[in-house]
Amino acid sequence: MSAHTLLLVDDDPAVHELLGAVLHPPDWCIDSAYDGLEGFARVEARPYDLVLTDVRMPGLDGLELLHRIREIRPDAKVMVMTAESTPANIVRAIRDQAFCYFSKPFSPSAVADMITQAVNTHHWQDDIEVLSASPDWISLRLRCKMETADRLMQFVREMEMDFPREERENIASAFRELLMNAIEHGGGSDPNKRVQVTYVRTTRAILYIIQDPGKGFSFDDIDHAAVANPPDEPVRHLEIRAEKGVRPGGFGILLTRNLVDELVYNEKGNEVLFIKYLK
Amino acid sequence: MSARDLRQRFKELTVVADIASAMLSPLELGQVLDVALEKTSRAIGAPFGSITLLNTDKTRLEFAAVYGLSPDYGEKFRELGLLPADESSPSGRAVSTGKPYWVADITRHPLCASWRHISLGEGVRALICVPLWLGGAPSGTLNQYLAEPHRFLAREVRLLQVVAQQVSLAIERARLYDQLKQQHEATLTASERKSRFLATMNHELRSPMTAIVGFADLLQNQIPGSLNAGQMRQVRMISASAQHVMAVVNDALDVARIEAGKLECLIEPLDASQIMHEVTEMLAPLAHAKRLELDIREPREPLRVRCDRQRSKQILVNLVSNAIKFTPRGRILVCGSQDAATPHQARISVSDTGIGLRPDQVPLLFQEFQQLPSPYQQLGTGLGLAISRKLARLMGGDIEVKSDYGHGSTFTLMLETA
Repeated sequence: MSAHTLLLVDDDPAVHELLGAVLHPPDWCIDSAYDGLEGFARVEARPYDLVLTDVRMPGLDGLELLHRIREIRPDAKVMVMTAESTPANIVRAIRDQAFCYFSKPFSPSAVADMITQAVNTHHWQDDIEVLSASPDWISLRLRCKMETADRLMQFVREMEMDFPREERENIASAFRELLMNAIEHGGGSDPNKRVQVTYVRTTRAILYIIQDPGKGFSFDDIDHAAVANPPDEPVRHLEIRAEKGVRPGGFGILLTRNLVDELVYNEKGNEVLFIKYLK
Repeated sequence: MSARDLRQRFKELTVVADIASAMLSPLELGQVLDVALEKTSRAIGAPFGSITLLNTDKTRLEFAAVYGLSPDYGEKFRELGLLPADESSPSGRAVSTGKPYWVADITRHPLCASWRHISLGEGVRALICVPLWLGGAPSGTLNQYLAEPHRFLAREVRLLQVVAQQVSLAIERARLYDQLKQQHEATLTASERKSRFLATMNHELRSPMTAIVGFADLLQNQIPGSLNAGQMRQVRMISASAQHVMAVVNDALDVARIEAGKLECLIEPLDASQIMHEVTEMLAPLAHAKRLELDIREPREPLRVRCDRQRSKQILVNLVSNAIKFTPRGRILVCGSQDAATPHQARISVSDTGIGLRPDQVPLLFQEFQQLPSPYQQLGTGLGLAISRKLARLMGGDIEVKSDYGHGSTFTLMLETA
C-alpha cells in the first residue's frame, strides 16, 4: 500500500515537528507549508489525501485557504486546527465543508488517530449538507451515520461560545443525545436517510431543532427509555433494553430535560426543539 | 373671581397639564425640546417659538430648537456672533435677570436692532423670553413670537412661566437620561474591550502551549525514544504544569463569561438532599482513593431550595473536591440545614478535618488568582472559589467560610428556601 499524503500548513515549526514525529514514513508522506499561499500552491500542484491547516497565518489565513481549495478541488479533505475557536470561524469551516475542526493545544497522538480515521473515511463529502450557515442560524442535513454525528459533534464542542465551559458541555451533551436518538431511532441508522438540525441564536436564547425522517414515537411506547420509568423503578428501562438487545443507555431524553430549559416534541414525535435561555 | 376668570384659569391649567404630560414620553433632549415648543406655541396661539440654552462655558445662548421658523434661524444669529449671555438681547436679559422679558414690537426696540432683520424676515413682530431654570440657575430661555405687535398681559407671562418650569424639568430629565446613556455606552465599550482582550489572551497563550503540551505528550509516550525514570518524572512535571496553565486560562475565561452575565439562571424549587446525594456520589471515588470518609447528614425536615440545578451542583462539586484536596485524613461531611432564626435561608455545608485556614487567609479565598502560600498553592487554579461565589450570588445566595487552622474548614453554600 502506498503512503498517505498529507499537507500540513502552519506557521509554527513546532507543529510540523510534532506531527512529523507521530506520522512518518513509510505510512505517511508529509509536505510542509508555512503560510496559506504556499499551502495553496501545493494543493494546486497536486492532490493530497488530507490537508491540515492552522487558521491564523500570515498572507492567507487557514479558512480562506480552505475556501480556495474548495474552488479548485471540491472533494479535498481538509482539517482545521486553531487556538481560536470563535463561532464565526467554525461556521466558515462548516460552510466550506471542512472535514473536522480541533483546537490547540492538542495531544499529537490523539490528533494522529483523528487523521488516520479521516483518511480512512470515504464517501463523506455530502454527509453534512449546509442549508444555512450564518453565525446566528445554522441549518444542516446529515446522513444518518454515526460517523457524521461524531464529525458534527466535533464542531459543536469546539464552538467557543460566550458562556462558561460547564454550560457549553451541557448544551453539547443535550444536543448529542437528541441527535443520536434522531439518527438511531428516527433514521434507523440508514445512510440514505437524513436528519435536519437547526441551531438558532437570539439575544435571549439558544435554540436547537432536530427533525428526523422517522414516524415518530409516543412516550407510552418507549419503555426502553429512562424518561418512561415509574418513579419507584428508576432503572427499569435498562432491563427492558437488555431484553430487547439494545445498547445500554437510554437516558437521553431524561438527561436532556435536566440540561436545558425547554424541551418540546411535535405531535408525531419526530421533531424536537430545545431551548437554553440567555440573559 | 368671575366666571370668565375661572374659565380662563381652567384653560390655563389645562394648557400646563397638556404640556407637562406631552413631555413625559420623549427621553432624548432634542425630542423633549421639539415637543415642548410645539405644544407651548399651539397652546399660546403663537405661530413661532424657540428655545435657547447656554453653551458649555456659559458665554453665549444658542438656539437648541425652533418652531415655525426656518431651520437655519439659529445659524443666522451665530453668524452675527449672537447671542452673548448678557443684557444686550431680550433672551440674554431674561437669563441674566432670571425674569421674563418681552418686546411689544421689535421694529422699535433698541435691544433688537442688530438682528431684527432676521426675525422680521420670518414675520416676527412681538416676542417674549422666559428663563428656563436648570440646576438651580437660569440657563436658557423659552421664546414665543407673535406676528403682530403685542403687549403681553401679566397672566400670559405667568402662564408661560409655569410652562417654562415644566420644560425645565423635562430638559433636566433628558440631560440625566443622556448622561446615563453615555455611561452605559462607556461601560459597554469597556466590556467589549475586555472580551477582545480575553480572546487575544486566549489565542496568545494557547498557541505556544501547542509546543509545550505536544512535545511533553510525545516524550511521555516515548515516541522519540525510551526515557529513564528520572526523565519520565520530569516530563510528567512539564505536562502537569502545562495542564495547570490551560486550566487557569479556561477558568479565567469562565470568570469573564460569568461576569458578562450571558447566561440566565434557571431558578426552580429543588430538593437539597437530592443535590447533595448527586454530588457525593460523583465524588465518592475521589474521596475513597484518599481513604477519606464522605458522608451526608440529611436535614431534619425536607429542605427545598430555590436555585439553578447545574450551578448549585457545580458549586458543591467545587467545595467537596476542595475538601478532599486539603484533607490528608479523616472525614468530609455534607450537611443540609435550616436555621430557625433565618427561615428563608437554607444552608448546605461541607466540613472537613483537613489542614484548615488561618483567619488572615480567609478573606483572600474568594479573590481571583489569590494564591495562598504552600501547601495550598500547587492545587487548583485559584479561581474555583471565585467562580463558585459568583455563581452563588447569581442565584441570590452566597458562600461563607469558617475554619479552624490545623483542624479543618467548613464552607457553607447559602440558598433561598423554596
